[in-house]
Amino acid sequence: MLKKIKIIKRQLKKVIKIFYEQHFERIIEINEKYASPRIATSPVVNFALTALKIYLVFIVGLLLYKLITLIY
Amino acid sequence: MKIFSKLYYEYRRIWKIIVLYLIISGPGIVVMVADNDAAGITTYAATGAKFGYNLIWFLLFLVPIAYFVQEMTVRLGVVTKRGHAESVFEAFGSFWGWFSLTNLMVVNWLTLITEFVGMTAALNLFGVPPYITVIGVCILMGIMVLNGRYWTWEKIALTFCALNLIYIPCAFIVNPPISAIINEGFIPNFPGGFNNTVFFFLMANIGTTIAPWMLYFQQSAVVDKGMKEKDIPWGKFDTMVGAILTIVVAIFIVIVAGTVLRGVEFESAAQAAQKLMGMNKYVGSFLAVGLFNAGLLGAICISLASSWAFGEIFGWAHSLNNKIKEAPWFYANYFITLISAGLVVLIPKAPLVLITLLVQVVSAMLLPATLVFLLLLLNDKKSMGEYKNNLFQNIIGISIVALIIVLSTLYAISVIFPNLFN
Repeated sequence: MLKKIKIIKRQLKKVIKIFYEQHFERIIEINEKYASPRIATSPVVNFALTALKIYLVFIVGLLLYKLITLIY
Repeated sequence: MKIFSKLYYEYRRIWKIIVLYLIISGPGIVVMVADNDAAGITTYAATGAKFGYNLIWFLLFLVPIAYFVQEMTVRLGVVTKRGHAESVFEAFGSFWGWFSLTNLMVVNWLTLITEFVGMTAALNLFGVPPYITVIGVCILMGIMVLNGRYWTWEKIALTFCALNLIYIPCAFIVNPPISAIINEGFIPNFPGGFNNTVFFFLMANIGTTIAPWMLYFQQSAVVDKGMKEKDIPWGKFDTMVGAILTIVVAIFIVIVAGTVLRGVEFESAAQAAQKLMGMNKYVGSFLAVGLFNAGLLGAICISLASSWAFGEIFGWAHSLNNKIKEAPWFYANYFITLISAGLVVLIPKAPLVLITLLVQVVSAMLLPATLVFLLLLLNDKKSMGEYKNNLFQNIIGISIVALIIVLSTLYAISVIFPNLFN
């Protein structure tokens, strides 16, 4: 039984190692592949993306405020 | 004789159209009906219990809202041959791509937990222990995807969609007053005036109509199905049929709750079903079966939406037409998401209320971004060509997106600060 567990453990470690090796490299590749946006940065696109960033800052700010008021 | 040959010709022509539609149909109906998930059923039942038939007219407005948003994903998927995650990465770069993908992963996983909560609670009413439900659902969903064909998966999913219509006979059993439904339900009115409670329910109903996973799911499904430009009209029709079906089901849930549960307070659809069982055994049982089916449909689509998105970005084989050996990471992602969400429900005293609240908050972060990206992508002449949005589609699209963003944000704020709207 112990031997079987050890074999499973070894196999699991191997799978995790392969996963990390393959996917961390892959993340770097993905970042390089999509480093620059393809869509033309027209004023409309710029405005929409800036508005989105402001919106996200607003929502995260609200969450942080809620968290702080919950703690204190 | 001539009449008979003409009739036969017409019969063959109509039959051909029906067969063609049955081949093309799928993603639109599945995504729309799956939108009536466990949380959706709870929202509609609560709306009926609180306001009776008075807000039925409002639900009718949700048909064009759902249709116009989802129709854009059909065109985008067919023309670019990419899923939504890949489209975002490719068009807006890795920052927005990772933002969308990680948010989608989180919100889908949390939503999947809420689907399991609905399913376990529904079957619990029939004496099925939660762990049996979780194991059974995982096995069933495993069988569905491991047959190695998108077509088979889709037709099984469509069968579950048909089961979602269970609320229609349910409404006939409770024998609602038709004149009251017409007078109260189809003439626009706000019961007790436009107050905070009405506003909260309107926001909740809109919030359940469009969820981020729906956009990712339908676009990826359209690509996996291999739809071509010539299929776009059928894809649109499929989406319209789905949008109508989902709202018809929602209306019947409101009618059932408005007839038998008016004024009754409950926190979940399972609780509503339990109360109904005390009044009418069959209606209560139907509601519980419907709730289980709704959770199952939601789980089927949500777990696939995540796996497709990851497959697209990491370059894994990510089609339901692939066998498990050909797409191991795609299926691993599917099962890890599914099983881990199921296990959370089995943890004693798991913070399920907190998880439900988190779903709203994370959705509020992802939904505006997803909708804005969708509109920008649909206006990109370079990739969309003749299928880009025209002026009419842009006016409708921008109006709907603005409305959804404002209302879903207010809904999320009301979830974070519950006393703000009281």
